[in-house]
This record gives sequence, C-alpha cells and structure tokens, in this order.
Amino acid sequence: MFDLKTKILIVDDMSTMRKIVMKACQAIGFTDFADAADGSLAFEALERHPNVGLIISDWNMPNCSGLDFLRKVRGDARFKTLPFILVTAEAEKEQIIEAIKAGVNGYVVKPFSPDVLAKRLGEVHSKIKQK
Amino acid sequence: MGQNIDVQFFRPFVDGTIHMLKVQCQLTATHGIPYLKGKTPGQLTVDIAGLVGIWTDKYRGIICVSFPESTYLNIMNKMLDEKFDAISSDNNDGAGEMMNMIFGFAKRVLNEKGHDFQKALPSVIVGKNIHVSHQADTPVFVLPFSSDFGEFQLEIGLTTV
Repeated sequence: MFDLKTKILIVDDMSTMRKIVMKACQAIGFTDFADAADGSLAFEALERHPNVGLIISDWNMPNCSGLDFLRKVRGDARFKTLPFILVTAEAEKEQIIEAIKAGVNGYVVKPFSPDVLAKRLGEVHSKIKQK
Repeated sequence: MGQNIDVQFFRPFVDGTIHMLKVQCQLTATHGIPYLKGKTPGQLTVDIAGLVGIWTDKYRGIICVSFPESTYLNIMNKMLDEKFDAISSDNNDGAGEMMNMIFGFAKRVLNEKGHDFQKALPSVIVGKNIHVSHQADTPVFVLPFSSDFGEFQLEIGLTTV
C-alpha cells in the first residue's frame, strides 16, 4: 500500500466528486491533498506541489480531460513514473485500453466505496513495486 | 421510441440509480411505476436536476435526475458528511455528478447491447419548483423513486431519429 503520508492530487471538474474522493482517501488514512478542477489546472498544481506522490483524476472533464492530462504527465520527464489512477463512470473496454497505452497505472469505476479504492490503490502499488 | 415504455431500455438507468445511491451513501431507493410526464396529477416538486443530453444513432433527447430540496440535501449531507441546509454553489454540482454516475452505468450496459451512447458532460439546473422542458412532441417518461431520504425521479425524454 502507498505510504499514508503520500500527497494525493485529486482532479475533477465537480467539487462534489473531489470531496467524495478526498473523503474516501481520508477513510483509508491519507491526510495530505491538493486538488484541481481540470487537467490544465492539475498540471499547474503539479508544478506547485512537486511532492505529489499519487494522482487520482476524473476522466470526463471539460477543457483538458483526464486522458489528456495523463498524456501530458507522461510526456514530462519529471512525472513519467508518477502513479496515476483514472476515475470513470463508464469503464468501457476501448477506453481502458486507450488509458493503458497512455500509461495509466489503474482505474476506479464510479461510484466506489473507500474499500474498493483501498483495494485498487493496493493493487496499483504492488504492480509498481514489481516493475 | 413511441409511447410504449421500453422496460429493457430504461432498466439500466433504474439499476444505475439504485446502485449509485447504495454505494455512495448506503441508501436503498425503490422505484415506482413509470408514467408519462404531464399525464399524472400530483407530480413531484423539483428544486434541482442534473441532466445529460443524449445523441446516438437512434435517439436524441435528455435524461435527468430531479430532486426536491429536502431529498437532495439529505443525500448530499450523507454523501459528503456535511450539514448543508440549502442548495448552494457548495453542493449543487452533486446533481450533475449523480447524473454522470447513473448515465455512465447505463451507457456501459446499453453499449454492450449494441447502442452507441457517447460521452456526455452533465449540466445542473437549480430553482424553486423548476420544470425541465424537453423537446416539443417528445414523450417524457418519469420514473419515480422513494427512499428514506425522500422522493426523487428520473425523467427520460427521447425521440427516435
């Protein structure tokens, strides 16, 4: 599992969903967060918070989608290996393949409970450690 | 779509609604009997609605989830562990997020059955006793729900291309 001191960047255009994700992370034990309302703002937040150790980003956002943000992150040498989880309400096969090709570490389907998020974070962390 | 209710088409939206509330706020919602909007007296007072536009090879229209203020605040307070006493900019995008989760669930199920629903960004409308207008001549089916947090409904207004 990720160290509970890890700073998490939560990205979603809906403030309600940012709160839901943060609440789920807090239920797991995480305490350090930054947030942003779309992919462009999230990239600026990454610049401001270089200690971010995990990104949890919505997929379907205006301006800069989660997938566009992921590509931007993976295209920057500083963040190439930063753990990145996409949150989606849809989880259709083609989309997941597209995200994997772009370098996502995992995805969570909305709605989700803290238990489901914790399990997914554990899986992502294990996969990263095995690499 | 005609005026005959296609239960198989509506089912994923009903299931998505029940699933979303169960997972996100441990709330059990029960659906009632669908009816055509405007044909039944004593309809629900709506103060907030989250909606998405539908654009597929077969259908055009709007789907929305609508709440009276009291039901909405009960749900948001449980979902976010807050004590909101009014709909405001601090909580109103929750209606869009709920519609997003319902639509995402239904889209996945229906596309597996051959439909071609595309991604859609939800919108929210807020106001005292609002009326969601659908395209003229579109049959609008209302799917009522009840729960411990109060009543709410889905509206599905679609025309066949």
